Amino acid sequence: MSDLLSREIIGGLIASVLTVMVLSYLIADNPLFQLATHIFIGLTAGYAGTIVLHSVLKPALLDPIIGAGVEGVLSGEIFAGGEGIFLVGAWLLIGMLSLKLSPSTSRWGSLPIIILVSVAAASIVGGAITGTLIPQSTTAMESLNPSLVTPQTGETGFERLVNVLILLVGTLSTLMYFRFTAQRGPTGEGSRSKFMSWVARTGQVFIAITFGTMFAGALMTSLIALAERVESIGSFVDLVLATF
Amino acid sequence: MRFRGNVFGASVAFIVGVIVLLGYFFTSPLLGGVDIRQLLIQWAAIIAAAALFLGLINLFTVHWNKVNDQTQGWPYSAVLIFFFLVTIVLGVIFGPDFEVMNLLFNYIQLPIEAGLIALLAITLAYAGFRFISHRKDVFSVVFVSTALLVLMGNSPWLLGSDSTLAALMANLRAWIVQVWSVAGARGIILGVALGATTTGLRVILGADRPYGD
Repeated sequence: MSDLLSREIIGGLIASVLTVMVLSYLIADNPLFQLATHIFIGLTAGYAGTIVLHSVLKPALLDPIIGAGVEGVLSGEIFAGGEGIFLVGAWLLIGMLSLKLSPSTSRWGSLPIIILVSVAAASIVGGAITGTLIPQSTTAMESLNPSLVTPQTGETGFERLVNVLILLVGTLSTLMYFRFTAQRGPTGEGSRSKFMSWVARTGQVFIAITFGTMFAGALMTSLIALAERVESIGSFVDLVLATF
Repeated sequence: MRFRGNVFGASVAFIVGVIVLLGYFFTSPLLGGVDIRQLLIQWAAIIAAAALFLGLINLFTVHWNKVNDQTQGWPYSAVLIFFFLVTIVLGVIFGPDFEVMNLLFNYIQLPIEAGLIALLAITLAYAGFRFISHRKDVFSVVFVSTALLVLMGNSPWLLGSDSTLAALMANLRAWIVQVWSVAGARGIILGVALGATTTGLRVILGADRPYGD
């Protein structure tokens, strides 16, 4: 038996056993499923660490030092200029972050977290404005202009007008559904106006339709994965029967 | 807005946040020839990567303690530690493209991952049935009807795949997905973007301090 074939058989056996272990959850939560998920977490954690080390940390922090050698480090050559500021700052921040490992020194390791959180927050705000709010609003406005948009569902004339209206009403009512501010009534309780209540209910219908579509998409994707798993077990059985 | 507590933290968050945010709309400032915004983003990427390693150390410590104390389910923790150590040691020494790493990925990680996604098919179908049986209102009916229509319009039929009814279902599915769903999705996306903008601005302005007081 060739190496490749034996690897296919052993690998296929492991993959099939693991698939059955995972799918055994359909009967009930059981030790086999627990074992498979713990193997998965351990392996994924190790793999994620490997990828991060080789794709981010090593090229940015270790390679410049290794490249410069002992002489470059001792002469301070690699600490000069913009790259030097980045390198020294990055090592300092990692050193401070490592203080988070111990509860007694944890409070001194906040600066890297503050930088990480504020950069992430600013990127989210910038990304939301330039990547979602402006493009989506522009697209929503452009979709109202029949001359700018080619019909997506092959519709013409009146059908197009109806579709554009559905898009407009759906977008606005869904957006309005998320508006939770309300006027305070005589009894002190907040209440929406009748008009706003109707708009919000219409928005809820559109949200239900969108979630229904997403649900169907997720169900189809997972059904394909289920079929692929069953097929792979079948292929493995075929391979074993053909070999022995 | 609170300005008590960690004033230093809030000030750093404000300065860093404003520099990075303004960089989306204006040319970012240079300090000694260094693009400050770019420098901050690169540092944040490095910190995120290092934080992941701290998370891995934490994961290892938690399961190591479970094995040491022999608390309930410790054999699972031992298995987790074994696979974690094997993968990370091999990965650190030989890199992610090493042949054994590929074998681990193809014959262990991939089948479990695909198996979990496959499990989702049954879980989702079950959740759908429970949803309609527990909540009988207009919105749950709309939700389930849409899901069924999209599924029927998208799937091959056992009988009469080329019938008028099948063609009608496919057209109906296209109309729902490309018009009705897009309208709702656009509203949801805009709502999410507005929420994200508000939350982000609150962090930058120091009203929310997820990094601690």
